[in-house]
Amino acid sequence: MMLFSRLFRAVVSLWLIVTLVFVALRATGDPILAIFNPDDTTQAAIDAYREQWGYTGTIFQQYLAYVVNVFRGDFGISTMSNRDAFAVVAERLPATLQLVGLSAVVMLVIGVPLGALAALNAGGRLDRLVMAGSTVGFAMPNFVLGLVLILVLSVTFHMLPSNGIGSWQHLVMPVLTIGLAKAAMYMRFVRSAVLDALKLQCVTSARARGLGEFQIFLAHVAPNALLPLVTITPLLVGAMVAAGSVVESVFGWPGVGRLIVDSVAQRDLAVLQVIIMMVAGLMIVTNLLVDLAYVRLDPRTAAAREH
Amino acid sequence: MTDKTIIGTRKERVCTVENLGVAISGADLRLVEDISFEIGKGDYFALVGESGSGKSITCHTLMRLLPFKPEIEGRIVIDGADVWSLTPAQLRLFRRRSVGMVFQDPLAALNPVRTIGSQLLETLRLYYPGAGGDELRERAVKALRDVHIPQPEQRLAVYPHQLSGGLNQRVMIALALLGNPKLLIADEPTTALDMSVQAEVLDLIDELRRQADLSVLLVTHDLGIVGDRATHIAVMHKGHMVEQGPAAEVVAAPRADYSKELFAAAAVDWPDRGDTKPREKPLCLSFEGVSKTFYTSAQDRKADIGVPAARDMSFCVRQGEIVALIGESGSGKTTAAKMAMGLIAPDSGEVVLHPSPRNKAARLNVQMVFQHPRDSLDPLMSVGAQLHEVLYVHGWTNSGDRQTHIEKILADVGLGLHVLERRPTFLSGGEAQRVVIARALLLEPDMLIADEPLSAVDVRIQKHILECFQRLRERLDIAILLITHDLRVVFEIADQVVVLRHGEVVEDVPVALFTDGKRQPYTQMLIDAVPGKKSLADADRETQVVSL
Repeated sequence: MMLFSRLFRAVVSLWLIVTLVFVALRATGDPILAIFNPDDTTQAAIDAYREQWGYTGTIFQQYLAYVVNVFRGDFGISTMSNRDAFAVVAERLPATLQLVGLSAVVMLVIGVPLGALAALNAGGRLDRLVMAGSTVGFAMPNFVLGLVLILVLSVTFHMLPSNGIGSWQHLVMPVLTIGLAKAAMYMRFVRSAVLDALKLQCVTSARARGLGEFQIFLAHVAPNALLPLVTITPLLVGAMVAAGSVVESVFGWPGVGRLIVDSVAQRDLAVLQVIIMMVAGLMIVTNLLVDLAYVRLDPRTAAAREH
Repeated sequence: MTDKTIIGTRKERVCTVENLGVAISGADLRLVEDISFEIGKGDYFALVGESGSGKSITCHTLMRLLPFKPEIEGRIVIDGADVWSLTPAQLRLFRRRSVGMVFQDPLAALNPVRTIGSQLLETLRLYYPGAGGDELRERAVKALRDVHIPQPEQRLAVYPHQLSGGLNQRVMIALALLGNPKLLIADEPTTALDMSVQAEVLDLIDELRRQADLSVLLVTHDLGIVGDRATHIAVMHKGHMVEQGPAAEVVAAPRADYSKELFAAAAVDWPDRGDTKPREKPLCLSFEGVSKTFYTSAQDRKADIGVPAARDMSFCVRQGEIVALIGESGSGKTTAAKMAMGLIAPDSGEVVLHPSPRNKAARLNVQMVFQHPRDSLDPLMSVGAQLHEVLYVHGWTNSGDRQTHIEKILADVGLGLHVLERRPTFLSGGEAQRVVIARALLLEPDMLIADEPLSAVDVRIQKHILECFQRLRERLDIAILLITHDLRVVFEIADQVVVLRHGEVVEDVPVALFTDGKRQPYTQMLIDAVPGKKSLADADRETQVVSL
């Protein structure tokens, strides 16, 4: 019952997003005029184009036609490549998922242990070192690290290819660029979550019972620190898709991120709409999963739902 | 391991503290100075004092559980071990075998995301590393049975939030005693619990102490508890131990000035059982068949699954009366107060604020005094500015008039003018609460609603505030609706008592009839649970004063 109502809400929010995107994209400029210079194109040619791409009638009529088509599974034609917009996005998706997935692993592998160690050593030298590193990491714009990596690893030492896709060597630098930047941020979340958990009275009480520090960490600190992290982690992973648009451009990575940049520049609205719906759908699904996970991780929330 | 030194006929010592001093390392801040005491086998040692007196610091120091890096002077020997010279491994063994600790809030002291059973098993595994799952389970069930938890088998799979506070505290006690320690430290073990449960938990600790010849160190601010049960009492004040000795001696004749004052403030005046005066004064507030149910969600509202906070609630408050609204947490006390203030509308029935009998205004002027005085004052504004502000927004434009009025009200609540320039952070708890009362009085209300005004302040200050309420009733003829869970407060000043349970009025009697023994079973249970009640039997019933 709860799942059903959550799914229904998910569909409604997806529909709201589609509507907003549709209106916003059309309100910010005529896509036809982005392709043609009206001064040296005949009105007849422009009208023909409008007819062909479905930019005729009022915005409301266009919207109705679009929604009907979406329900039929037709997301429109990309003006850039003259192909089905969905296919254009779908073929870029694996590259981005690969990038985001590996970056998320880097973020977790670096962020969790360093953040936890910093918290356990709060105020100590290691803590200050980790926090200073983290500040540098998230204060730096995404592409700067990418450029530095290219300069060192490709230009100077010729160790890794600077551009393109194909082998694991191509993956190293973009994954590090996104993963390290997010790890810097994630470390802080982990640190404060662990610090809060360490202050819980149940930790003091476990200590009073003579449990070992390692066991206390695993059995009492970690489960409590996990709760806030479960909420924030998918948000950060979602933000990686956004970070991807810059990093993919720097490394010539043919993913969705670069497609966003190109489509905006070309006002390829059909493709943009598909991407935004896809990202929104992804976020909605992960949020749903987070909520479900939360009920399992925190028995108190399950109780609140029952009553 | 055990210290076998026996001096003369004295029994074995379990805990010896010699000239203990605790300071925060780095900061030049001494929290506790020159504390010495001894706890013998089977002793019930009570450490009493107000908040900030250093009693909690002392008991955390005994187990090396301080939340900061301390500088320690003196020596603590418990069960033969010099606590502060133990290596980390020895310290863990010491905590497992020698001392058990029970905390103030059992819900916080148990891990909220793990079941009771898993926390018991985890601790049991320390003691029986080779034992199989079934054996450990059996031992866990037995541990729960020993602290009288009904249906212990089923409780293992339950999370702390699914149990009541009293049951959680029992689980906590079971956990603390798994290793059969010599000493049980209980840091305010009943402060977070309802009155009727408090006695049960204290009885349990007493029972276990007798059974196992356990020594108990009870840390509390509640002198009622101490008088009933302790064998030894030590009084702490501002980081020093001002007095200690056998309980009977300290209670009968406290020597230090501070303890005299403390015990005098905590004495319960049992209400007179004389004739009751008829209630004739004009009505201020009346509840007429008021009902209110809270729902957590819209679906629950539709399905009519809600928490009834008021069920056909009827009572009244008359001019110049102090009506005490008592009940345990969840009984609907605060809901009633909010409805009287008009902050919540009742589902059915009527809350009537009668026309003001004194000011001839069409509507009664009601003001509220909140539980936490510091939270209800702006920390950044001086007290004077906050009081002026209240009058200013109500049209007092002349600052001279305002000042005269404020000075008059401050005198009413017994505060000096010096508080006006201070910010709330520089006020004591009692001063802050009186400032809040003064602020409520500025607009010359007909009635004050005070929601647990005493629960955040210490015993001595409680006395001052109660005196302040009494003065207001006598001098200004104000009606006061006093919400409290503490029956001793009721005996002290109330005229009429209304007992609430699950949103229903169980009892509505003049305080003089309250202890006549003809009350509802629930009321009787609340009365029996009052700490200090035990000594009533021995006390001189003619004077009807219980001295603790």
